Amino acid sequence: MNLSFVMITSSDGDHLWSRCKALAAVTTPGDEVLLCDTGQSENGAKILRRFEGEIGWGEEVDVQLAALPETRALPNWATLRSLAKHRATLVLPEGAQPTSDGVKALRAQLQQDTPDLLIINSARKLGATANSLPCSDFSRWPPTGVLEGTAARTAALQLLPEPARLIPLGDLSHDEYESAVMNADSIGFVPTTVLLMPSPPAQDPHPQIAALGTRLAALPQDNSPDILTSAMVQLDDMMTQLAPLHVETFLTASEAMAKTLPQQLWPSILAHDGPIGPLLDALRNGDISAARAQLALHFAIQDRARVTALTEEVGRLYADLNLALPDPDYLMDLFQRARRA
Amino acid sequence: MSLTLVLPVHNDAQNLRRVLQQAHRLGIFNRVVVSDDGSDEPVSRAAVCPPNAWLQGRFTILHSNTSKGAGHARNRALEHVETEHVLFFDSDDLLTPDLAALVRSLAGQHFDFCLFRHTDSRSIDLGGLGQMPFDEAHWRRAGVQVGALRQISQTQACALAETANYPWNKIYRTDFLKQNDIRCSETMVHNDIELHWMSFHHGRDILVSDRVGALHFVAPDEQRLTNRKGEERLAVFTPLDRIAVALGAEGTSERLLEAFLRFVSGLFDWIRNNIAPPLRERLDEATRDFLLTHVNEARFSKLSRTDPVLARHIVFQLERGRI
Amino acid sequence: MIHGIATSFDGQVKRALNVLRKKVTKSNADLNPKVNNSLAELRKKVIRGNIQSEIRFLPGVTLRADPALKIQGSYDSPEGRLLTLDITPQAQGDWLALHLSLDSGDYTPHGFVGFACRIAAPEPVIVHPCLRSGTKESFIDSFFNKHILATPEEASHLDALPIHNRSDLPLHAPWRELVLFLPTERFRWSLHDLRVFVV
Repeated sequence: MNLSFVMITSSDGDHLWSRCKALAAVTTPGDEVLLCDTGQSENGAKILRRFEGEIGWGEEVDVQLAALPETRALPNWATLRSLAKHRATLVLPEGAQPTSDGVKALRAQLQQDTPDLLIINSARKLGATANSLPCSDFSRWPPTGVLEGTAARTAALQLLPEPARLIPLGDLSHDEYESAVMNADSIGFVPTTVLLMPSPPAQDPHPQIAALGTRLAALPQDNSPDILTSAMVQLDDMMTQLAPLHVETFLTASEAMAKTLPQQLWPSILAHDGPIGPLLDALRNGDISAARAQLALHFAIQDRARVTALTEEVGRLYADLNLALPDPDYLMDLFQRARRA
Repeated sequence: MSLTLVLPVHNDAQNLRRVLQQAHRLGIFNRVVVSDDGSDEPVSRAAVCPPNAWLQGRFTILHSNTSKGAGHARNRALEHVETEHVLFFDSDDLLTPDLAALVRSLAGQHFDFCLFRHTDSRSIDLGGLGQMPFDEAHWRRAGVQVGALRQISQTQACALAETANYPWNKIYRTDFLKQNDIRCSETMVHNDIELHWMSFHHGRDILVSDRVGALHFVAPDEQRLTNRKGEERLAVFTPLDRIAVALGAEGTSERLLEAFLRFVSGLFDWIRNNIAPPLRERLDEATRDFLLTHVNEARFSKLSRTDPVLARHIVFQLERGRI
Repeated sequence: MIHGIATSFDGQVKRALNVLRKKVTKSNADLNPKVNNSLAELRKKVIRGNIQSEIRFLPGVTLRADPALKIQGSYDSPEGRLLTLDITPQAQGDWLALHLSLDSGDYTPHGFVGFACRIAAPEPVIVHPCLRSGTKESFIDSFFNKHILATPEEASHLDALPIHNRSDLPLHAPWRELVLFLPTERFRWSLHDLRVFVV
């Protein structure tokens, strides 16, 4: 099944050239690439033109430049998808790029079934390396396939509510994750990482935690499990992306939230298998030291995962470099030939 | 410790006055030799000497009727240096207070030369404060980034030899230069290379300090260095040949020769990017001749194991010269 | 263009010095605690020696270590710099720090106590600075927010503590120190400059 890719570019940073290469590597004949350059950077447009001229997007791939309004403001994704010619449209936000294995898995799923909504997995890019860090929900993904009804919605709400993961195939026009999930009767899941996303910029977590806290405090009891899980997953992700300078704000906001959560939610919070559960529990009991220790432990785990991934990448680069370097005998042969007049 | 400041100058009287005032304030120089390399308006004592006659009787101005390059100017000045030590400096750079502390800490020490750090204006433009990253990387490789004064090993010296070949970031023992006949090349450009490499070749007691002794200014478009695109660039091969012969002689450090080959390989590419295109063919031929002369099979065989990237590039440069 | 850069640099330095002179004249007590005079003395001196559990480099500048560490090593103070420490503990211990005596005066009129320093170390070294204030029975430590990280590239560090509205910083204290807690494993560390301010 053919795909449309909407690539959003706002700048010439974020490794635009490598994004283009990654996209060109996964297109197949009949696919469509819609370039959505907001024009904030002159170099971005030049790079796109150069890429098209020197490398190209693939054989028989239809490439369009999305017409943006005078203001160059980015339309919502539902509007962008409406510009695409194929129903299955993958939006690549700023900095994001597809993976070969992921897109293959996506096409395979589409061959088998076309649910109302497809949810694809994403991971965080580790700089310019081929390695990535899985998102904090990686252990919650159902196997590849389609689920129906409540089971589908429950499974979807256990995952990180990232809009870029949504591929509406039915008549859904929701950009917002939860709305799209709640309005889908059937949801397909592709747990193979399809999108590599840059880490979000460090930002003050207080507003987001406050909003989650308000929402959870107002939840009716019967509807709480899925929404609670989604909130917990979001908090897990915030912990994963937390910058050291925001630690105090995070703890203060989480403590305030923990104190307002309804009692009936706590068994589920404590049973949550992510790092936020023990941290909230410590804060609820006023044990700030234990909360800090949880955070420190979480940082250590994250750092170790990053170091392992980076070490693997360095090892891979080293091995590639050694392979690329000619061996001494070959070099000597080249040298002797070059010396001859 | 007695120290002479040598200042080659060409049409730069204003900066010369400034650096002399600085030198006066630092109080570490026993003598100053200004070597005027054919300035349009010859440097005069009245124009540049500080009004309080700081160096009455110890201030020498040498004039050259025509411009022969900073290398010639420095060599000429060296003949007039009688103090134990000498510092070559450029009129458009700035001395620093830390240089005075360095000089005082060198008193009573025996050394051939002492290499010190500097701040490069390009580094300031990049938001940092210090040497350019490529120089910093060599200091890091040598393991000498931190330390007010220390002696270095031959291995460390080989790493530091690959830093930018500046003449003004070293305090030399005068006799070390004279007895080993270490001089600048008398070419209009690239005249510092010989002084730098022959110093490392002959140096046995080399000190290094992390003190920042100079503020080095590079014009944004590097105009003064790269505006020469003509045949004068090809003159570099004569001193390079001399250096290669000296480093390649039996009993000398293979490691230093390898460092030198790495340096010249990069230099040839740099010159190729900065020379007038019609001269590139001659440059390629001269490069090929140089490499054929100084990289024999035994030497190449060793390089192919110790630095295969350099070995491959040498082959490429040989082939380029053959076409 | 080169001349333009140099003139601009000279001009900036001159303007900065003029501003500093005016500030010093206006409020010498604010900007220049006595410890800065001691540190200025240390900058002028050239000293070196072997490390012991307690060394007084100058009045008001002391290295103290937990005797259990059994530290060995050397120190030197090159001209124009403060201290280079090369320390190897021989056993486990709890603390090793550089103590700088500060004026014990009333902090009420002031807003901040802080310091600026320049440091370097061949391998990264983390130093934890705190303001120690004497109390009737003992002392109380107020740690600065930032650790001092020294790397091979010489770098500056600046930090300040707000004085008021905190329980860990008494406005009156019989004595005060700036304490720089050093690592308790092997390290080499260069303190090129340090200036303390109470403003």
